[in-house]
Amino acid sequence: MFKTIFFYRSKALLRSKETMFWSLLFPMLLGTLFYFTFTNILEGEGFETVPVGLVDTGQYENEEAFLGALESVSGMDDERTDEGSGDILFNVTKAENEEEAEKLLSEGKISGYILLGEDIGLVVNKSGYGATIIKSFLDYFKQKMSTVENLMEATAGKITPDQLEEALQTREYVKEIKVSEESPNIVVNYFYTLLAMSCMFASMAGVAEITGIQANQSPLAARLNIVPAPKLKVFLGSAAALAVIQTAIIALVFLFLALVLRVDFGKDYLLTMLTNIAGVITGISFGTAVGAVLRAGENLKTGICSALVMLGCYLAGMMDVQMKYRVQANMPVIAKINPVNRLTDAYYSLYYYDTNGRYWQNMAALGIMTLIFLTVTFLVIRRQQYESI
Amino acid sequence: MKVFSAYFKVLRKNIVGIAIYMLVFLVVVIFSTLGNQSDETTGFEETKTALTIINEDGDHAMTAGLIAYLQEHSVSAEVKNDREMIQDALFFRVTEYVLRIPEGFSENFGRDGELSLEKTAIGQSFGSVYVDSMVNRYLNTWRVYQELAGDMAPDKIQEYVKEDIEKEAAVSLGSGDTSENHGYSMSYYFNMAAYSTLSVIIIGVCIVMGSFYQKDLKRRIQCSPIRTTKMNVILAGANLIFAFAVFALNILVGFVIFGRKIFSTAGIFMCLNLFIFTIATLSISMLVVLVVKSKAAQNAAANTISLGMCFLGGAFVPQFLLGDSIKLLASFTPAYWYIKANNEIDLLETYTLDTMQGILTCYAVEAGFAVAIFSLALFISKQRAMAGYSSQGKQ
Repeated sequence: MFKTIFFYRSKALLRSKETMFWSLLFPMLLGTLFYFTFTNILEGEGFETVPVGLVDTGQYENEEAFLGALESVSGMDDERTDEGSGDILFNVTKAENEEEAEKLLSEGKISGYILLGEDIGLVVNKSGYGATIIKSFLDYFKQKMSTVENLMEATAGKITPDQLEEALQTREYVKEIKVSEESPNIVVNYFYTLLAMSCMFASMAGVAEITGIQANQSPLAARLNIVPAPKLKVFLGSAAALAVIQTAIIALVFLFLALVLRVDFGKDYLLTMLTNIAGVITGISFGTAVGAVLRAGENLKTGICSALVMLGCYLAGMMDVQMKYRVQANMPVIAKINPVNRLTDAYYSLYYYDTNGRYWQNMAALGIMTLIFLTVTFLVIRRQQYESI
Repeated sequence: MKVFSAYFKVLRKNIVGIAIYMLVFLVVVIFSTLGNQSDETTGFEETKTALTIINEDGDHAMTAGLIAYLQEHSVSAEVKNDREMIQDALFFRVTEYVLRIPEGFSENFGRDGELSLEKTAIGQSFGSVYVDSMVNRYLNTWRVYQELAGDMAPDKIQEYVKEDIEKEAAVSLGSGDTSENHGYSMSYYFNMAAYSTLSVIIIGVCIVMGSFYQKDLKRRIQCSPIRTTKMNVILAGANLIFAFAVFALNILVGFVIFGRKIFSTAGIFMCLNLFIFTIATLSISMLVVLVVKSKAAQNAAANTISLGMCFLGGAFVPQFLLGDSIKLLASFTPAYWYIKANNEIDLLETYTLDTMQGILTCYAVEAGFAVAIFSLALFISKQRAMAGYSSQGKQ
């Protein structure tokens, strides 16, 4: 009986072309969209040379020292460098007077301009990294001047200019430690939530499975109820057919993301595939539990499933990637019971961590959730009888 | 009237589902808005990097001074000293820079076998370069005193270093853009509202209208003494009422979050913008319900459209971050124009016909989409009806 139901259910599912089309097209379409949207975004994070204006009124006492310092970190005027090489902080444009600099500033050609009057000043229109970097440079110059003055005072001028120059050479005190083998790319999390969502969307088909064996819902279900087999067997047969087909769909989506869009899933594709299977099964069992527990039309049940999955996606960082961390840090319970988050986290563990401890934790949690959902489903549908339809 | 009341009868039957749907999406919008409150400041403010300091060196005057200095010029991000938590915090940009001061750092400072501070940061970002420069500046100043001032006591050095590094250049504001900010978060709310509007209206219309498009019921309706055009107009009217209710709910939530601010000039223009967008969404829904037939597929279509448009249009990811080609593609969706209008309203200082030109253009494009998509839906509906009659005739 299991085989018969499995076979016919598979056939029926394969024939609902529209549903197949959408469950395949939907994630692929969104994935492509994510791909094009996010290729640009990380580029904004690199370090860029800051364009800065300079107005020199000739009144500043340490003018020469200042211009020397500025020159050492800048490409003056024409030597424009767009790539942020280590030494070049600024692209300096000299302006004749304040009006000219003001014009450059309002046109957005410079982040701010340095005004060398009696003291050093900075004029900006708005806060931002550019303005911060310029200010930091000016501060540093003033600080160095102050250090020299203080030293002269403390040592009563015993220091020779050579000694001073040598001591004032800057040294690097910071050494970089890489966080993990992978250079962390935050964008992958969007694709992971997407794949997790596709898995969990199997829940809607799960709802349909339950409707399909409740005799009061359709003539086919009524017929299924009089087959000479326990309901559990009927249910398992049809759910297994669904799981196989959904897994195939997710596998295609996964291959599309990994091979066409080149999303990095770490090295272990087998474990990623195992996650997909676990995701589909969790999704289906979630759907059957919702379908069995709620007494409502299929429409409503599907709607609720879809809304809950979307909420899960949101909390796992689909719309705002930092949300995943915030939930984990502030409401760890929610992060733990959210299947979308568990799935996303499983993909993420494979990508990011050197060991698989956290991955297996997530898989175990998904297993427990599936078990709970299935138990609920069985308990509800087990003894359902229909005196009249 | 029969059609009209039938519509609301179906709606009433499904109201729980639609309400749950609405609630979920409102939660998403509200959470995001509240999580994105920004200070409305004018003037210069140092851009601060989220920094985590792990001090294993104890309280030497130098280390303590360094930490105090860094903390003043950054936002401290508390992260547990645990490899996984640090990895996660960096990955999700909760902290941008983790600085570890190793044990014995200050003791060996300036001697042979000097230790380095260890940083873990996200690539070569602005924030990371900035913190590097602060650390190096502080330590270099300290070293200069240690080398040149003979046997100056650490506390004395700290005093001098503190005096030096507190020197700052004066910052003044240019005459340009110093406008008062209308509140980033309000435009953020309205941008996010595109998501709830799209999701709820498309799903709602699909559920209710789906009933009218069932094969048998449709045939029954077709042989009732009411003209198809009239029925379509009535259904469109009923849909409009439903859409308006969703719009009103969005505004109500906005009112709860922002209070009277939502009735400021900027607020009113954003509300108007949302209204036009709601109508455009309704047209899209009518098209979806005609083109996509199965329930599961309608759900998938609703999600594809709402998520897709919101990502493309810049509801989740700010528009200025999107590439030019993406923006070009996005300009074929009403969501892009809706969000563009919101962002422009947010930046506007004075409201004259001249300054409003860009915003009015966006309104017009959105309305254009609404009309075009609705016409397409009507056309398809008509085609279907004709095809339906001819196939029935053949039978």
